Amino acid sequence: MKLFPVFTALGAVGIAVGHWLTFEVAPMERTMRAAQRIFYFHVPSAWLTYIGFILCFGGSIAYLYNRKAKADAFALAAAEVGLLFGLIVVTTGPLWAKAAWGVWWVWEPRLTSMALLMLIFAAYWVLRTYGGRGEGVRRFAAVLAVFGAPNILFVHDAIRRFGGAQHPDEVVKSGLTNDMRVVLYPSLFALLIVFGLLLHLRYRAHRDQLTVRAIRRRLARLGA
Amino acid sequence: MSRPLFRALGLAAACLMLPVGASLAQPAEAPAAAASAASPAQPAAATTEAPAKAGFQQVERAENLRYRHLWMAYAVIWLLVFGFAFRTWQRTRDTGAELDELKRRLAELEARNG
Repeated sequence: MKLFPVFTALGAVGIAVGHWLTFEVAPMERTMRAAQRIFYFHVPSAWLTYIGFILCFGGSIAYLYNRKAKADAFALAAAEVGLLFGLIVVTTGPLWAKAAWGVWWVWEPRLTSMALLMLIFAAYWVLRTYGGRGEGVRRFAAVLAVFGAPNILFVHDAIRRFGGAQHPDEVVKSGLTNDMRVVLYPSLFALLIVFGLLLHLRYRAHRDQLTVRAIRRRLARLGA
Repeated sequence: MSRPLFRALGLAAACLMLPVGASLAQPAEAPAAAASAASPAQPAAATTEAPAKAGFQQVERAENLRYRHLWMAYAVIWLLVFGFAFRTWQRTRDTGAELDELKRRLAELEARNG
């Protein structure tokens, strides 16, 4: 438990350093100019979206296997945090696209598959939030996550497999200069800590909800 | 437990405003101008041009737009993160209060029933 404040402080410092690097240290890109600096939080957010949905996939598999409510709570928390970072990706992406390409959105493979992935997990979240608390809803949502998460492979591999001239996919693998890497990885590390803290808080909130329901059932049995 | 998170995130928000503000305040061509001013090849030109460059200079609209989009993107990121963290904190607080109340009622009931 004492690790929480340590990681919180580490995350806060990491974010401050990440922003300082992004706005002060990162070199100005020749064609996209200032708008390219969106990259340093946009790309790590996309990776964290993948991690969130992969954790949701793992939690859902565990829930379907052992029917433990904690696994289900973890899957829901991971999906929520994944959706948060996905929302960051799909809002900062068009802002970058408008500045770099002159359009808000292009129906190219990476963007389209990312939109589909987001819709699948948005459906998961809506189902869990408004679909009631029954066992059937949980199982259905878990199956949705298990079938939805492999779409990450399509999103990740979209440009190599299906083409797409606009999205700078290969840049991350080979076109980054060392000056840019020095900014990208600390930003990723800072956001990873924020991701972990939010996941922890969200999971704890869902676990507390489980405890509340258990006590309510017990009170009902005692006739209160 | 979530209170340190909010204190630290508040501090981080204040810290991150400094480089963002400083960066936005810079004219877009400042590094190039600084580089040309520092160039030893044309020292006379650099010194004669200096007073003219000290005044207001209009940046082309596209350049301005890129800064605006950059600013908007980072504003969106932190609005979403802080909004999510705030909602989570509210939920944890409400659930915690409900949990305390239910535990108290349960203890009373168990004590009454023996």
